[in-house]
Amino acid sequence: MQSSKYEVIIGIEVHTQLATRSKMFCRCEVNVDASPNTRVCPICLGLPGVLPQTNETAIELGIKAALALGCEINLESRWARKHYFSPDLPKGYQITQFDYPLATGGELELPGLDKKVRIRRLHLEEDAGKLTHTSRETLVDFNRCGVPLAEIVTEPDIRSAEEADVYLKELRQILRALGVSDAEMERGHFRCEPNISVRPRGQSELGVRSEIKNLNSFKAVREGIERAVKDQIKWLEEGKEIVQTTYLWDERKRKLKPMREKETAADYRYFPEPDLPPLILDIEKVEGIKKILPELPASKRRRLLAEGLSRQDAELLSAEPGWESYFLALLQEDISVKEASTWLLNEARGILTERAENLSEFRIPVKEMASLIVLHRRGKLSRPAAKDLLAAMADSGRAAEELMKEMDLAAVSDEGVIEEAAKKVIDENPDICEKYRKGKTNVIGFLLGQTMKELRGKADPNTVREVLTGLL
Amino acid sequence: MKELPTIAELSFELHQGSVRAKDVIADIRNNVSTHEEDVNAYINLYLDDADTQAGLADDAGYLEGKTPVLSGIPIAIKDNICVKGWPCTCASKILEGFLAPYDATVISRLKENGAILLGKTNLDEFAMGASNETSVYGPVRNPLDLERVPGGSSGGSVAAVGYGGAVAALGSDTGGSVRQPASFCGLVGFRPSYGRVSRWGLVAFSSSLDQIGPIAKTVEDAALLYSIIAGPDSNDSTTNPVPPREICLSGDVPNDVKVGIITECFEDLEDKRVEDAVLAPFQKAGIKLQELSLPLVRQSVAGYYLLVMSEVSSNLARYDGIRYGSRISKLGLKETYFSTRGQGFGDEVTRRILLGTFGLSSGYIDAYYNTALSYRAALAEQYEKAFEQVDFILTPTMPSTAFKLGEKIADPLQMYLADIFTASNALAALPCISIPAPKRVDGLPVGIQLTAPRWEDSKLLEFAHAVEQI
Amino acid sequence: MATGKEILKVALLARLELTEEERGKFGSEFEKITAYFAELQKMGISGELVLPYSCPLSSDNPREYDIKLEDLTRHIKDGQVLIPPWLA
Repeated sequence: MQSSKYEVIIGIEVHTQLATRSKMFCRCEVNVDASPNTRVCPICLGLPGVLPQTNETAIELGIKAALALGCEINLESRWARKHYFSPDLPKGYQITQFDYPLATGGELELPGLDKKVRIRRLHLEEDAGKLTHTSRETLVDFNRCGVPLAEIVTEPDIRSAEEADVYLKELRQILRALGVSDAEMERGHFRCEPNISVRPRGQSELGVRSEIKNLNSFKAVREGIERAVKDQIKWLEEGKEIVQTTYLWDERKRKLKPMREKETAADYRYFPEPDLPPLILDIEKVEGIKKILPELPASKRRRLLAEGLSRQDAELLSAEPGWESYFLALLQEDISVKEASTWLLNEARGILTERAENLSEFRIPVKEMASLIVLHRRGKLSRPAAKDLLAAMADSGRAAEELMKEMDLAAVSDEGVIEEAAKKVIDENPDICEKYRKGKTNVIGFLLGQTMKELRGKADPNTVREVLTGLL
Repeated sequence: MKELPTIAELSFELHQGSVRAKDVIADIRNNVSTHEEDVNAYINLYLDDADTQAGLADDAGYLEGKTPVLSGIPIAIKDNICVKGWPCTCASKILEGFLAPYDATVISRLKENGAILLGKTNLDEFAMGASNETSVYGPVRNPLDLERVPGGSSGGSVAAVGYGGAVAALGSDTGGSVRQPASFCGLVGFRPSYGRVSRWGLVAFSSSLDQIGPIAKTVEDAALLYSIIAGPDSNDSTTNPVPPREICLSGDVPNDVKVGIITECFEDLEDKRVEDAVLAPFQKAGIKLQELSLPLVRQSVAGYYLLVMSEVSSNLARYDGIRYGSRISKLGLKETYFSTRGQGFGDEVTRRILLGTFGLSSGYIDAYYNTALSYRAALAEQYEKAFEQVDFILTPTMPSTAFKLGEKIADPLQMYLADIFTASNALAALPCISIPAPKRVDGLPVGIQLTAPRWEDSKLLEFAHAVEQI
Repeated sequence: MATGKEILKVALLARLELTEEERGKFGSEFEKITAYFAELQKMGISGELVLPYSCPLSSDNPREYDIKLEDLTRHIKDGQVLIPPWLA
């Protein structure tokens, strides 16, 4: 879909809900599942005479996120009012940061793409309430009004929907790893607004922007971007004039719906928030937070790669804390990195994927998994047998040794028995053996398969192969 | 009218047992029935409740050291300060039906100290005005001359104390709203340094400038109320975390005190008799006055209104009838916003919202709002330099005595110019007070305004008290 | 300097419905008042007056507040605030 004639320039704005217990400027509990309008107070309702009180933890989480993104923390940042009228915005303005954001100038490494996306800024603000529209009326719930948000804006460094996808997933991982946000897109904790422009390759001037809102899944983000790019390229080819537009992603129809210009052309009349003095941070406090930052996904991946894991495995482990802890637990049981990679990340994960289950539904305890791996290592289980055992253990959650005995999967190591089976297969397939002797050595695969079948998979394939070649 | 005692006098008498709180409420009731209809100081008055509370205070007795300091003392509250359970109208249609669900911090502090709250006083709509003629509940009249305005915007609070409808009151001052009516009615009105008194529960007009201040008959009373309501409040992030120093009212004029007069202010004064009335006590006490030039004061009305209107347009954006107040519903949401706000606000409020919105709008914000901010900083610096030479600055509070109702209301710009002496010190965040000059002009009070450096509220009150004794 | 025509734009931004008469009245006042500000603009001053203390921070401890929307407005449906629909 990428046309080499055109270059796609994408910048992304993410609003992420911070994992605090109370709201940004009042002490109402953050709980959007609560009954409507039960987590409200005079402050978040915008009653006459109220004043904001800044949430300490929200600031700390903002600092954490900014540090993890390699940003420079502005030790003095300021609050501003952003004005617009909307029933879900009680004061008629949002308290945010404009000229003096909390942090600026960071970057995010995109895993697997050998590329960095520059972060322009990170600032804090409060969320609006929730509107439910019908044709006859609109209902407003203010529980979400005032919830703390961090807004993270990139430079227009992203060049494709795929890069956008990787960026968002990596950003999300970081926020979750830090405990800054739960970052569940479907629950609205992680809202992505890409802005996209297309220009002929070689042109230095940026094209006209399309901005997309209401993208509620990674899939939607990819589709939305691809759609916007397609449209823009089409218009450029047709010589049509492109107008800067904001679109709403229509989830059902999977289309971009342009917002009416009146709704988007807003004069926010930003000015410094007079009810809050400047936010002055103590450098020691910031340094303190920096010291206790947990290991970030990128560095985790680098470390795991250095330990011999494949890139894919490293990415999986750094993305999924569940898999990582199981993996590490296996290593504790004296399982090697390679073995754990093969049996957990490859085989076991394959089974779960097949069954459309996730790790939380995995029935094999760590010790039993280790047990199975050791049995195989010691030759007590052939590889195919081990795979069967793994599947059976995943079904039943039962112990490795016990199940192995019951299913009679123990490896056949008696050479005599192997020889007997090999001989049988050779006798039954004279022409194949003839082909082998004549030089077509790859037919050994068939013979091996047949012999393994005879042995009901319970022998080590390498040994069987040796015996076969020996006999032939 | 039956003259009411001051807080200090009443407190003394209550402790003596020579008067009961219920007696005072009875006197207030009498004064109210005589004057309230003409003066229109109150929007809501709760005399029966006050009487009950007075009875309780009397029954509990008055014991030095044990009884809360304001026990039995009846205070009136400007109706832009929230009192839990009572309507808070801000003299506007748009807040019709709104009952405050919480107490302002100043109210909590008054209640904790035993004060009896009488009711909510009339004001210019949303505290915007200098004459109390813009209230949706009708204008307030000057108790000394019913043809004249009491001043604004805290006209109701001042008039109530003026005719004996309250012993003291709280008002709010943004560009003179406590000091001006005090000047017109012969009372004391004190505006603390910005950041001394919590604004939690004060309906915001101009957030960078609003302060709540006491209105009383004497500086001593004002100082007492101030000491109770002032001090840091975690609800208001703009309050100074350092509490104010205790006030020591000796009544003595310090020997080496230096008082400056702003030449620009006195130059512009049309009525020389006002000047004479203001300077008289200082001449009598032999206090030498130093001339200071603060040229930026000339633009103070412009700078003040530019700033204030922008903040007003922002602070009043929440009044849309959606969550509280009166809503004028139309078929669609957009139409409802327009009609509710269009009809809910009076002319002066509408005017300021329009100008303020304009002043913040893109393309204009630099020339308007940002210019005002810069002006403010430069003005504050000029004042700071002036205070290197003097301890206090003296001006008249108002360029004239109380004008007649209807005289200025038709020309908004004329009305704004009434703020000429009270806007600049407010902009500079300084503490300032208006005390009545001993001499009147044509029988009407003249206000003496004293300003001190930022945070020197206690020192200012001490000096003002001394000047009052001259 | 503002022109009377800009009143309409500003009234829209501020969600204020004005009658024809009001538009005319405010319009002429507008010009006079904004002209008054011109003197200040010509002075070209710069500077900033910031509060001399920093933004205080409050501990992230949730507190329940006893407030019911029904006490503030009668326009309630299913616990939510009811407002007219946004008409195209």
